[in-house]
Amino acid sequence: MTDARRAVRLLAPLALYGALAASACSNNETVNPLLDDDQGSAAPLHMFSTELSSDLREQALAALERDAFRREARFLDAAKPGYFFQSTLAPQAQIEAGMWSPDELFQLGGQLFNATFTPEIGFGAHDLPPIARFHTGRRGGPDATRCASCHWRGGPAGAGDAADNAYLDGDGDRQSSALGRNPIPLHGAGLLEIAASEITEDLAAIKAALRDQATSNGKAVRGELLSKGISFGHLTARPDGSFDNTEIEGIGDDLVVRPFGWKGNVRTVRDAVEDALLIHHGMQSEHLVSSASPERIGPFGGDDPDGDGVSSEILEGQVTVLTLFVAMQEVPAMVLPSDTNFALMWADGNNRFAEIGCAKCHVPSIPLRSTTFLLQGRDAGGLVAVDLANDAAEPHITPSAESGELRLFLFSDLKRHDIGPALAEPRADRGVAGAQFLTRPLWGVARSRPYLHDARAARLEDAILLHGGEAQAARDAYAALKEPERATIRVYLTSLTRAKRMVTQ
Amino acid sequence: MPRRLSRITLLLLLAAALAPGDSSPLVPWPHGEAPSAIELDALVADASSIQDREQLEEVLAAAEAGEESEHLVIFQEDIDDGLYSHDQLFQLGDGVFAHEFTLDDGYGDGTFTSLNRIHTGVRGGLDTFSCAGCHSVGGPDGAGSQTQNAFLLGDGDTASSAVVRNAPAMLGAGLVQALAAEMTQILAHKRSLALQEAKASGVPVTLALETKGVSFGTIVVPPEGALDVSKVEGVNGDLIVRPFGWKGVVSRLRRFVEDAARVHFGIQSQVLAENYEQNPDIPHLGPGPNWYDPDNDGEVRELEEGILTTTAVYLALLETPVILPPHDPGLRDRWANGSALFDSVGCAGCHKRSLELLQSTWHETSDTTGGAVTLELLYEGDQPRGNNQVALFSDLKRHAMGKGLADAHDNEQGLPRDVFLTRPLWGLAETPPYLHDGRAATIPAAILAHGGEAQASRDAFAALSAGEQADLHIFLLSLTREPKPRIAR
Repeated sequence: MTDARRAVRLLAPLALYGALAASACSNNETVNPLLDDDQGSAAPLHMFSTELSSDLREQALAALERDAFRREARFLDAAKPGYFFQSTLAPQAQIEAGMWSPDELFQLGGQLFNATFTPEIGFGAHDLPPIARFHTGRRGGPDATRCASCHWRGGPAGAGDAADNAYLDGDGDRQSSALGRNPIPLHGAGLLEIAASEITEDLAAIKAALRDQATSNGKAVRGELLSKGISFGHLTARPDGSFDNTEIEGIGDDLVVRPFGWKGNVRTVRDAVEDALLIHHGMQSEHLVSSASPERIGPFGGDDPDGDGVSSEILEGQVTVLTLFVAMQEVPAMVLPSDTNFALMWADGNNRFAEIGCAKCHVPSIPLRSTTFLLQGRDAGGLVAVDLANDAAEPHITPSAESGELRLFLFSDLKRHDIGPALAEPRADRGVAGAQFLTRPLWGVARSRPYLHDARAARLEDAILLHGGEAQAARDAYAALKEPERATIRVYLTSLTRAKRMVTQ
Repeated sequence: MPRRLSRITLLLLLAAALAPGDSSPLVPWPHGEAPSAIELDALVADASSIQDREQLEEVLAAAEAGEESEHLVIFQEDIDDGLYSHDQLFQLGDGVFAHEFTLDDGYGDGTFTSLNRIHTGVRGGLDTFSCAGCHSVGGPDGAGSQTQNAFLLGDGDTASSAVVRNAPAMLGAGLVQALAAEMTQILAHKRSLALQEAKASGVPVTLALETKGVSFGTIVVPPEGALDVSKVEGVNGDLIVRPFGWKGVVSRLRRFVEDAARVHFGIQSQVLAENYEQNPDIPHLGPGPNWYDPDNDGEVRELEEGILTTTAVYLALLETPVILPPHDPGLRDRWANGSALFDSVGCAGCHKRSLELLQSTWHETSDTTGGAVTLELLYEGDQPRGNNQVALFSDLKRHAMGKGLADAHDNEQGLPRDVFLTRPLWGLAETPPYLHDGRAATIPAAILAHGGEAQASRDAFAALSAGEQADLHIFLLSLTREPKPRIAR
């Protein structure tokens, strides 16, 4: 976008103030000039930014600026009900045509992330309670009116408290009927998706190669499913083109890595965003309305399957900007203690983390080939791409200064593991067995307490000691350490944090 | 910042060229202009010092097992002896508010496997691990979201069995506590004067219960025998104004803290335990094996009285909400119109704009030692503090709100299901969702849900034009808190 066009767009709020001021003189009705604009009603409101100065004073001023815009936008939303929600309505075609800069898309998504969903714009469903703490099956609650109300701890788009747990797939009334899920922090989500899709590609290539070998040689071929240094077990291809899947580990037989959700059952940020809008807010995307089953979207059919009298609740462009906002979240930082004694403990902890076996599943880092986040629109939609190394929220991923290599300091192998009976749930969740959970990435872990899928652990040590199953040996090794040695691991884990960020409310 | 500055410069030039006469600055600063360099330095220094303290505590807690819980050992006797400055008490209270209670602290009844969001009767549940966990909306010490609602007095599992309560914001709590205490004092004084008069004249005296411009009905004081409290309104017959809790059932912050720790974390104060020795309150505290461990989790002295004091001091010294009108002149006109409508529609009848605080000195008195921490509520603590016309937008009185808002179940105190305290509206814009159970996502939805004694005002609001409703909404959105940068935790 040229500077001039960017300036015109940034001027839109000024024009709006002018219009409001003028209308206030004549009567109390206001017309949102953006609504009559053939550009659509979308407008970045300067409440979010991908920039983060390293200077705290500049950060503070920028945070106060964003807060000032937030307050004024709130008044404008009162003056023109719906203004705020409409400010997120970027048409998908415009996004695909590159009319919005990455920072503007991030802003639009942020506005949606912080918007209050109301019945007037489609919140809830005709056949569900106005708000419900425990979900009714796959339909959801609704249990919250904003994304941000459960993703707040540790900074923007952060984690949820234990009190914010979602209770999935229940009977709508009893906690014991539902599966408790602590809201996860969203930092680095786009890179997580890229890493997962690269592994999925690698595994598909291995599978294809094994099949080719088996069919051309006429005998079974067994090979390791190895990607990014992580083994997903072995696969045997038979000469008839079929496979023996029994040695696959930590992933479904389809060999697709699903890095989202505590159980590792969601493949993309987009899928996660669309499902969250549906189950937490009853806000239904066009795509789900046209494609999902009544068990998910409601029995009323047509273009308003939840029967609340609102159709087209979430447009494709809104799914896109919200997905991009999540995908463009900052990368967590590792910040070593400044005090020498603590720094030495940290160094010990770094070694011990590997020694006792934590790093087997919580793999500290994995290589990454690409930083381009690709979002394929649904239903004949086109492709939107964002380069997370340049355009994501700061701090973003940077190649190694020495080698130029890209690494993701994720602290996860992106595999599912049996974590033992103490943490197991009595039933499967969307096809993943009760004891199986994805290795939770530990990046930023110091900013995302409490811990474990249902937030039952207030502190990191509580969480470590609750590990079982495949993690039993590592857990026992931790428990067997002397207290000063345990402390080094705890100090090490507190260094997995987020960059200092000034925020306001 | 050079990039941002150049963009702003460009925009100002363009704005001047394209819209001559429009002098709106680009950033709609709520105080009219950007913070000065000195103000900004002070804000950054404050934020940094909090961050440095929290960061040090975090690594200390990791490096030394049990270090966190040492913060919970504060003895009332040491406070009485002046061992802590008010600043230190405030910081310690801040630490308690963020502290995540653990089994070692006495969390729950010793057999923790999962959170228990639906409380079991008056014993409570296990909602989360820290105060801060449910006071996150609008900033630190803020309100709770819908998911953070507490489900009181339930059967331990079923949402529909419980009374739903949204966590209130804690800002300005010290001034609310002091106002209510003054009202209580004034009503008691009037009542004792009436009793003297009745004794002197030998005939019953009918006393108008008026304080700070709020009428609590009348009471009939006979020369001897029981008072006739049948015409008392909005307060119990004991004439104690209790400003905390959605139904107005708690008068002191230390009791509020004590009860919250008990029902949300299963953390029992030493004051409660010592009372238990005389009068075992098994329903609220458990069957014990003995008075010093009523919940039988093997942990004793779970919450020292000193913690009640530090936390009450902390809450009393929190900042006070402010009114910040829109920046844009047109919106400001609408704000002014909304303010007038707030009165003419009748909102201000119960949501009284301000109550006058006569005495800003507060004595946070101990339950057991007779000691007290003396605070100057308008002169010490977090800024801003406001003045003695406390703009809380409440009469601190209970009102019947109609069937639509009534609780599904009885509360513990036996108050009618539809009776609630007039919620102070200060800070309103930063405390969604609204109403006792958080059912209203927006301010207009909350207004329209009013009934009972507020039915007429509600109907008057509903009868306004859409533009006038918006004006009132704009006014209410100016009830907010001071913008303060902090480092995200």
